Amino acid sequence: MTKAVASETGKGKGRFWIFVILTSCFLVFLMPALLILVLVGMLPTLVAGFVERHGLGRVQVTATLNLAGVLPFVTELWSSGGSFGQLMDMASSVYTWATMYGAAFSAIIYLWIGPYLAASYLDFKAARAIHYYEKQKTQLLEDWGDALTAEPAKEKPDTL
Amino acid sequence: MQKSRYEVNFSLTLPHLDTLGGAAYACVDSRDPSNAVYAMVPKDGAAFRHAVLQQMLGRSVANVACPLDATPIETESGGWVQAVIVPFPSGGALFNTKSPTRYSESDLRSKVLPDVVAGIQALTTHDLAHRSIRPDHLFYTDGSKAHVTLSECFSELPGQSQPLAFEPIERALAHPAGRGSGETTDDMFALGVTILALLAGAMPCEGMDDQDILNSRIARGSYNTYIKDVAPRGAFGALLRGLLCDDPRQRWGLDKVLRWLEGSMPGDPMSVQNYITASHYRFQSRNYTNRRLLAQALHTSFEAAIGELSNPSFQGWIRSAVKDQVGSVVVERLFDHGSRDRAALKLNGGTLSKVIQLLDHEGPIRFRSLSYMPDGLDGFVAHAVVTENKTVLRDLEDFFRAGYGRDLAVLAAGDSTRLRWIAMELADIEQHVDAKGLGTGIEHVLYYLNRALVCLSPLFEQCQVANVPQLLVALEALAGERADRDLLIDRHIAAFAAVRWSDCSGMVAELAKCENRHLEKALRTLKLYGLAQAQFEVGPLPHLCRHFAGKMRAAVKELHHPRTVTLVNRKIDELAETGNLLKLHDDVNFLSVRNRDRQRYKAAREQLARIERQLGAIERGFKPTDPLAAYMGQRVAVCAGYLTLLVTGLLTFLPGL
Repeated sequence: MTKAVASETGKGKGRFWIFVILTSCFLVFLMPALLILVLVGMLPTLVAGFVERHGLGRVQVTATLNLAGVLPFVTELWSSGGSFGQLMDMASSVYTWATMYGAAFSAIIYLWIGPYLAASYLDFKAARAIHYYEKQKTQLLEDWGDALTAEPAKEKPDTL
Repeated sequence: MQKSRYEVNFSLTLPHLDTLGGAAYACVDSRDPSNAVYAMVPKDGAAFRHAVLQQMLGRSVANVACPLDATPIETESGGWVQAVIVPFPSGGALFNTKSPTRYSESDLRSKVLPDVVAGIQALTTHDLAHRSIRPDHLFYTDGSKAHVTLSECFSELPGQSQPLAFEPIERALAHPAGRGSGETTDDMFALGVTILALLAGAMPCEGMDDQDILNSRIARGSYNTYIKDVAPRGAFGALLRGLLCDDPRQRWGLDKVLRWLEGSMPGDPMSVQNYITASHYRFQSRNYTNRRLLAQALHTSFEAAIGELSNPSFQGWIRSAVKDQVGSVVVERLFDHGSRDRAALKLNGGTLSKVIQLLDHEGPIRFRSLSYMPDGLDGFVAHAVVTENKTVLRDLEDFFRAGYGRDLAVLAAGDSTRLRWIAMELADIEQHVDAKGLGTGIEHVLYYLNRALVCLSPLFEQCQVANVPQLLVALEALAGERADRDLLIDRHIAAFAAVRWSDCSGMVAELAKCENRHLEKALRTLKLYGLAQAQFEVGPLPHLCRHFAGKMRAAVKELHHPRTVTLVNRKIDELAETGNLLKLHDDVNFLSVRNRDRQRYKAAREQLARIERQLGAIERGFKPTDPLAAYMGQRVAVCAGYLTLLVTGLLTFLPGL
C-alpha cells in the first residue's frame, strides 16, 4: 500500500516538473519577462513541490492559491506587452510580492482549517450513525433478551 | 386399569401346579364362582411358550388344560402382574412323586390312556405337541376321578422340566431349554415312559445319575434301560416296546396306539442300532464304538476335540464311520482329502460341530456351550436372554457370525421339510446377530425366532406386550402411572418393533444412529410411536403424549429466542392434550425449530458484535489529527484552492462580472 502511494506520488511529481519545464521553454522564447514573473511568483510552489514527500495534496493547494496570487500580475504584464520595464515596475511594488506570496501562504491556513472542517462533518455523520446503530441494538436486545449479551454456553449435546 | 373378572389369592400357592416358567396361585372367577380355576403367573427370568399360549387361549382342546384368559391382575402390593387363568384340576394329580401310586393295566387301559391319547390327538389337530407329558402332569378333572386331563403346556419351554428319561435320546442330549417344540412322536415317547412309571409306581431309573441314564440309553436302548427286571408281557409289553423305540421313524404313532386301544396289536418296531461302528476310536483314554457317545464326548471336551480334527487317524475313522451318501460328501468337503495344502483346511469349532452332527445326525446342534435341537433354537435363545447367560450369548454370536448356524441346521434337518424351513429362516439371523445398534443384535434374533414372544423390555415387567398396539397401550399405562418415568425406546422395544412391524425397521435404524443424542432419540421415538399409533389405529394416548410433551418442554429451555420459546411452549401445551403423538411431533417439528433458532441466534450475536464494533469506532468522536479527518481535510483544502483559483481567474479575465 505504502509502495503504491509512493509510486503514485512519484508519477505526479514527474508530471509536475515536466509541465514546469515545458511551460518555461515556451515562455523563454515568447515572453521572457513573463517567464521570470511566473518563476519568481511561483517560487513557493516550486519549493513546496521540491520538498514535499507526502503526496501532491498540499502542493496542489499551494500551487492553486499561489497561481491565484500570480495570475492578476501575469494578465497585467501580458496586456501591457510583457516588457522588462513593466516587470521591474511590478517588482518594485510591495503589493505585488505580498499578493503573490501571501496567496501562497494562505495555503497553510487552508490546510490547517480543512481537517477541522472534516472532523466536524464526520462528527455530524457519526451522530446520525450512532442513533441508527443504537436503534438496531435496542431492537436486537428486545427480540432476544439477555441471552444475546450473556456469555454463550457451549452448544450442549442433546440432553433431556 | 380395569378390574379383572378373576381374583387371585397370592397367599395361596399351588406348588403341584408350578412349572419352571410360572407360579400357580388359587383364583376365583367372580362371575362364576363354581368355575374352578387357578392363575399361572410368569416367573421372572423364565421363558414362556407364548406361541402355544396364543394358539390355545380361549380354545377348547379335549383333555388338555387350556388357558381361559390372559389378564393383568392387581397384586397385594398394588402392582400388576399378567396372569393366565387355567381350569383347576380339582380331582388332583394321578401320581405324586413323594408317595407314588401303582396303576393296574386294566385301570390304565380303561380310565387313563383313552383320555391322555385323546388329549395328544386333540393337540395334534392344532399342530402342537404337549412336550411335558409325565405322571405328575396328569390330573383328574374333578372329584369323581372319571376323567383325566393333561396339564397346561404353555408356561415353560417344551420339555424344559422333563426328567431326562421322558425325553427321546436325541432331545435329552440337548440343553433343557433347547429341546425343541418337537412332534407328536416325542409325546408318544413320553407317554410310554409315563405308562411305565404308572405301572411300576415309580419313576424309571429313579436314583440314577442323568449321565449314566443317557449313556445306558445310548448304548443299550431306552426300553432295555427302563425295563430292568421284569418286562411287561402281552399287550402292554408291545405298547411299551412300540412307544419306547429310540428310532422316531419306527416309534408307535397315534394311529398305532389308537388301534392298540381298540384291541388290535400293531407289530413291534424293528430293533436297529444305527450308531454302532465296525471299529472303535480312542478319545481321551476311552474306546468308542458308538457314534452318538463319541459325539457327546467330543462336545463335552469341545476345545480338546478341535485338536483331534487334524489327526489323520480321526479323519480316517470318521470317513469309515459316516457311510450315508450326504454324510460322506460332507466329510470329504470338511477334510478336503484332495487338497495338497493341508494347512489351508479350516479345522475349527465349526468343523467340529459338523463332525459331531455327522456322527449323531438326529442329535442336537452342538457348539461350545450351545446344545439345541433345530426346532429348539427359539426357546434356547429366549432362555439365554432372560437368564442373561453371557457365555451362551457370546457363543451364539460367534456361531451365527461364522455362518455355522445355517449349515448345521441344514445338516441336522436331513429330509425333514419342517426342519429345512427352519434352517432357511436362519439366513436372516446372521446379519443381525453381530450388529450392535438398536433394533439388531441378539434381541432381534430373539424376537425373530420367537414370533409370539412378548416384549421382554424391563419396562413391561408387569404386563404382557405381544404386538405393537399393545406396546403403545402399555406405554400409555406406564406414562399414566408415573409421569417422570423414562419411556425412551430400549434395545428390546426396538428389536420387538423392528421384527413385529417391518415397516418401521428403517426408522429404528435411524434411531440407532442417534443413540447418544438424547433429544433426537426422544423425538425419533415419538415419531415412531406416533406412526404406530396412526398405522394401527390406536386411539388417543394422552398420558404418553403429555410425557413426550414434557420432554420437549425441557428441551425448549435450550432455545434462545424468547418469542419462539413462548410460541413453541404454547403449541406443545395445545397438542399435549390431543393424545396424538404424530401430530405433536410433526406440528411442533422441534428439531427444525431448534436448528433455525441456533442459526438465528448465531446471526444475531454476529450482528450485535458488528454494531458494537461500529459504535466503539464512532462514539469517541473525530479529531482533526485522525487519519480520516486529515485526509478529508486535505481534500477539502484542495477543493477550496481550486475554487479560489477559479474565482480569481474569472475576476481577472472577466473583470466585468
